[in-house]
Amino acid sequence: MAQLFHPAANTLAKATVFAAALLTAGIGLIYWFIETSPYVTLAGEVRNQPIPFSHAHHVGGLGIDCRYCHVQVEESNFAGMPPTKTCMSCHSVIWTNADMLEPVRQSWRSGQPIVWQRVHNLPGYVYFNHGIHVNKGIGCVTCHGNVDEMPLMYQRGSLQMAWCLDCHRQPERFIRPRDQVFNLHYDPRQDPQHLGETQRTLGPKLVAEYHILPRRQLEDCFTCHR
Amino acid sequence: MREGQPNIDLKAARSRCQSLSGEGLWRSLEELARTDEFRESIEREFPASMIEEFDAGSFSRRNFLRLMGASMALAGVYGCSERPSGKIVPYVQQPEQVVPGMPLFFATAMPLNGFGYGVLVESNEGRPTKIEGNPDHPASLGAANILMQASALQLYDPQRSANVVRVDQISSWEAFRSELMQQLHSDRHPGGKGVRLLTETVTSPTLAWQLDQFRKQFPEARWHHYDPMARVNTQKGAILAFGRPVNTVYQLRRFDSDGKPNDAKVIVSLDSDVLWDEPGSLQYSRHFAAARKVRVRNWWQTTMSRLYVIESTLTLSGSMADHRLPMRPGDVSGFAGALAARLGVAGTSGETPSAWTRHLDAIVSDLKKPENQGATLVLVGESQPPEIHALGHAMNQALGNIGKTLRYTEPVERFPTDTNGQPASSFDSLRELVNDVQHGRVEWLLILEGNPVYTAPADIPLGDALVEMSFLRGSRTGDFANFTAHLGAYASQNSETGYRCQWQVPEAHYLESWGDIQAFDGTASIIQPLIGPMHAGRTAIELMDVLLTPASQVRNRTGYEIVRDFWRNQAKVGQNDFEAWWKRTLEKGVVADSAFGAIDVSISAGPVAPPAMAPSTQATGGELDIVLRPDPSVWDGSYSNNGWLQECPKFFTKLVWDNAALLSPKTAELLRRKYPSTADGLVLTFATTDGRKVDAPVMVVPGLPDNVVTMHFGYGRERGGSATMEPDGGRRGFNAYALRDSRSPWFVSGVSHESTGRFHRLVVTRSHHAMDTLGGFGPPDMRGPLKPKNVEDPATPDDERELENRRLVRTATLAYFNESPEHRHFVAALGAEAERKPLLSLYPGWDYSKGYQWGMSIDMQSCIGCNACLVACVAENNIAVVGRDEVARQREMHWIRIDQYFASSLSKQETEGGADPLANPRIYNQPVPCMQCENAPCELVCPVGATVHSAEGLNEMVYNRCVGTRYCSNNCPYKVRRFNFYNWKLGVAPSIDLQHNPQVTVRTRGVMEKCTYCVQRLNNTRIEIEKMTVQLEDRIRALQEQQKSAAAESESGIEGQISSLRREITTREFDMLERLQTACQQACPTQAIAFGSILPVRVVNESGQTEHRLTQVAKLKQEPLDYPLLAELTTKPRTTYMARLRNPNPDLEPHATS
Repeated sequence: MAQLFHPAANTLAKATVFAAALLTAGIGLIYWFIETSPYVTLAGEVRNQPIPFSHAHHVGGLGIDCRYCHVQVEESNFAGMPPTKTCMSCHSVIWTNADMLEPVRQSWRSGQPIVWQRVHNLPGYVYFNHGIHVNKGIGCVTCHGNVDEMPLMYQRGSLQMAWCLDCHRQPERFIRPRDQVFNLHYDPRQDPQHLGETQRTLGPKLVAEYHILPRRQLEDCFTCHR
Repeated sequence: MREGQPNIDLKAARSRCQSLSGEGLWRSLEELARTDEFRESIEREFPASMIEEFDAGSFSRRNFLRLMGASMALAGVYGCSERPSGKIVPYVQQPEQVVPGMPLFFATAMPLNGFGYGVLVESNEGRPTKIEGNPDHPASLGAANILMQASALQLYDPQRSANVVRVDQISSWEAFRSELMQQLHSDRHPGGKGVRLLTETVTSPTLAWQLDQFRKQFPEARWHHYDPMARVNTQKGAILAFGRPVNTVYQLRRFDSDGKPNDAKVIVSLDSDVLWDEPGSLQYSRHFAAARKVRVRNWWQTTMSRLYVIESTLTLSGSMADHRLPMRPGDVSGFAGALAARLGVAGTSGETPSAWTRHLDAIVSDLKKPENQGATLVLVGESQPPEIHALGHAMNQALGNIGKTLRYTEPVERFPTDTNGQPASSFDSLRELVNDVQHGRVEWLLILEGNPVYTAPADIPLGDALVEMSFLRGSRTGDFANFTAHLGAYASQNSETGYRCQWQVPEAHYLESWGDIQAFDGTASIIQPLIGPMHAGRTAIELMDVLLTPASQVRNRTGYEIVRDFWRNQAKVGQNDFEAWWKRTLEKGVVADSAFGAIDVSISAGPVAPPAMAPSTQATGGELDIVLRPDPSVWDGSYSNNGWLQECPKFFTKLVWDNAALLSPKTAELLRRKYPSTADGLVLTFATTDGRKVDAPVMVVPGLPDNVVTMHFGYGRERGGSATMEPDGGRRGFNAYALRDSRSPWFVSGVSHESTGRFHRLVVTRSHHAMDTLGGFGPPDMRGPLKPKNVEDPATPDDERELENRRLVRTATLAYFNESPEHRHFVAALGAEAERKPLLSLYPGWDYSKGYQWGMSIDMQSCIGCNACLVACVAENNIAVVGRDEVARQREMHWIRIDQYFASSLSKQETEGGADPLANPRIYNQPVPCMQCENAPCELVCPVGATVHSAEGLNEMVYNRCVGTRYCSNNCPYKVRRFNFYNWKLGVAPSIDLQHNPQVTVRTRGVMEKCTYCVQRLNNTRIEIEKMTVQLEDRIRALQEQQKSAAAESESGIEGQISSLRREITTREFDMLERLQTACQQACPTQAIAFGSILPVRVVNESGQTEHRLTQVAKLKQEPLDYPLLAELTTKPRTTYMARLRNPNPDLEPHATS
């Protein structure tokens, strides 16, 4: 009986086995790459807003505190968005004729709210609470990045679960003194209150001082999902 | 689907019950009779009957491939969907106090049949989402019954009337108002001649004042009232006894000036359901249960009140009774007469059937005991005739109860006067109106609220009269005759009354309107809205204000102005203080000190006429008595378009989406002689002696009196919304109002019957989710206290080891419990040695010694089975309504179910003597939510880790991980997991979405769900505690800094401040933990559910010492009555139960101590 397979088939078979493994790994790698890429997470993507509001100008330039607009960030789960009235408290006096601000004045005249595009959009089954994070010494900058350097707002982190768990597993790497939460450029090494400390030494102290729940509990599903 | 229900072998059921003789528990007759259906329902997670939805013929290989191909393609499409983009819409001017993300609570009051129930309404960003009871309101005391809970859904009902409609044509409010006024002031009605108003029961002070003004302005006009649930017999009875209308307020618990409670110790109920259908039932339930909570560890109460119930149907009160006598309605009257005679009430005779003597003697001797002097209470139900009510008053007077266990006040309801100037009862008033309409004496009729055409008794043909009056030639297509208008919640296509009027005006829901109302004891509340009218609805008060406007003017006063102006004159404060008074009143939800004071009335001279002994029809002719009652879920029909209530399994029957003619097993056997196919679902035609007929499916319920049929109102609507009617537009259920006679509104006697031969499929949840032993958990000796003979005898078939062996329900008598400390432990353990042994597990344990460890205690002693927890859970947790057909497939989604167990109340000797063990069983209610097992069987089998354990002892269900294998549900011994077979929320009207709790995920198809202990409430409380702690500790640190830098002189002051802050942190933490309530716990009228952290909480006390304080639930778990369910499975449930104690009279139950 004639040979069914050419001798080269041996090589081919071996190559196929390796190629299949590589292919599987490759597909996984590509999937992981896409899933965590800004293409999916929308990190770094600027949304079209009705008004090109600049945090860089208001926070970085003018030095307005986060809580001037996001009033309820310390009490509620939702940080709060400023009502038109907050904008008008300044812009009824300055830049009163700027074209860019017409939608604000329009809203004020008509009573129709401004509709903003949500930048940080968590899935419906995630229940994030701003109040507890801010109260326990997690700075705004930790999740939102240096908004004072963002002319237009974008999302810095991936907002994926792994990203949340980075902190929930090691809160000591990110925690800061409660009075420095709204400081966007806090560095423990330059903090006169904590001379000689670094994040590595200060973090665990603050975790104990603020009674941060043990990792086991911060990782519980019901902490965020319900 | 199969025709009808299986024919239960009642004889087999009876003999099985007899062999169990009081020890065995059963949930249904099917179980006792061991029908195949029952066997299947406990052996299989989802019974085969659900497979029927797939037609085997069409499910071919080709179809399969096609479906699979489509699924794969769709899966791909789904994977490519874009992330939804969100929007943020802030306010233009943010209202004060509104913090988006944080709910607000407002106090208001819900009207039901004219009486007010105080509620606290949760508002999320302006949407009322959840109703809680108002703890400051006497008719609620913080509890909320199913109707109060469901009224939140009622608000968002998409089928509510949205427009002013004139005979199917959309019109406008302006057009209506001008027509209304033009007709009212026309020359046809000088002084209001021919002008009539029809209202529901009126207790609203504003509306009553307006009605007075109206009658002054139009002296010839007449006001009528009608309410199907009006307490006509009660009122007439009071007039009979006292010569005038008097309101009776029971005081099952009365507090002394020093706060010491005085309980009613012996309560005799004559056909009264004091725990359910009185306007004050929530308070009565709370106080009734409080007098029966036996505690020996952290509290000391070793006495219980004793409740005797003599009734003609099965009621919640009856199921809680220590002694219950079911009998025919006429016999209850006779029993009352005999009881009165023995208590020495004048004008009563002492002849009684010998069968009652034993009970009568026992009750009378109990009532007359010196230690019970003034602490007894005789209750007469509204359904009994006025004479019996008068007798009840006389009995309470003879027993010295007046001013102690009950008080008399001025009547809360306002009555129109009849032609003789006497207060007219609801039925008389309506009859007079219809009579006048028929004789052409009415030319202008405004019906304010209610749906009287549907609810009118059969002998008052309001519907026909209305059509004749409204339309020439008696047809809706004809020209208009007289002015008729209906202010109602549902539009004319959904409302029998609106359909027959010319005009239909949308009525505002109480959550969107201003008003006022009085509770059962006269306490007034201002009704304040939480949202603007969604459909431009109006209220009766606003309409009355229009009527009171002079003809030349157009006035559009809002309800706010009307109610405020009225109270400005009523409030007993100066004009300058009114603003403060108004704010305080709105905040509290009650008008301070508005409860009516006790009045001194005496029984008018002359003996009370002996009760008219309605002759009980004898069974010989086969005629039956019919008892009519409001439906346990949809009430009088006004809530019939409410999915939550329709799907709420009714107590005792566990019937959903339907009503039925309820029969006792013996009655069913009698019927079976005539119609051999008699079984649940057989439709019989019931006909009264005056020719009224109704076709109703029968259903066998143990515990009902023989030869009596119980029927519930609220079904068989002629027109209504999608939940009211069957999906095909036909009537859902049958209309029991069609048998009602205004002269005897609650009973019909001498009813004949005829089989139609048809079957109607009744959907009941009785045997759904039964906890069983057939799954074979462990060796026999681990199965708890099996009957030894069954275990040892290898010939015993496996199914002998059924429910009765699991000791799911544990009970004993109070006397036995109090006999010795050993007995106390035995009551809960009751032979379950397995529970006493240290339980071993293969799996490593968790550390449960730190932080909060959540647990629950459910007191079966207090649970009356009213379903409040179930509906509260539905409202809080966005639980889906699945519909009748899906419930039939065991797919109801309720996270908490109320298992109702029956057990024979007869001793062995009695059953051997021929007594029927099915006739009067004891009833035990057991609410079953997820037990949050410490060793949870569900967690072990989940292949994707979608159900895992939390550090706080919760058994977490993670929807976003769940892939729907349903293994967890299969492995759950408590059967508390629910699977979303469909996306139930798909296709639900968008307005219903507004009711959803934003704190809870709305689950989608393919996801398992279950009770989470209201984890959203836990998390919020924990967050609040943690925030409070870090904030106060900041202050401590600041003080410490100050201490370091400051001079020594101020040091002691700072030290004191620091220690008081430390104390504050711990005490506030403890208070917040104690205030934390799950939804079921908060709604419970009897406080049967306790919830909290089961570990002691560290508290710094006044003297600076650290102590460990127990929360309420931790204390309850120390009580000897506490026991876990199915503990032998080593699940270590966090939810435990408290055994039920009974307090039988030793004279009636001499063997009661064992």
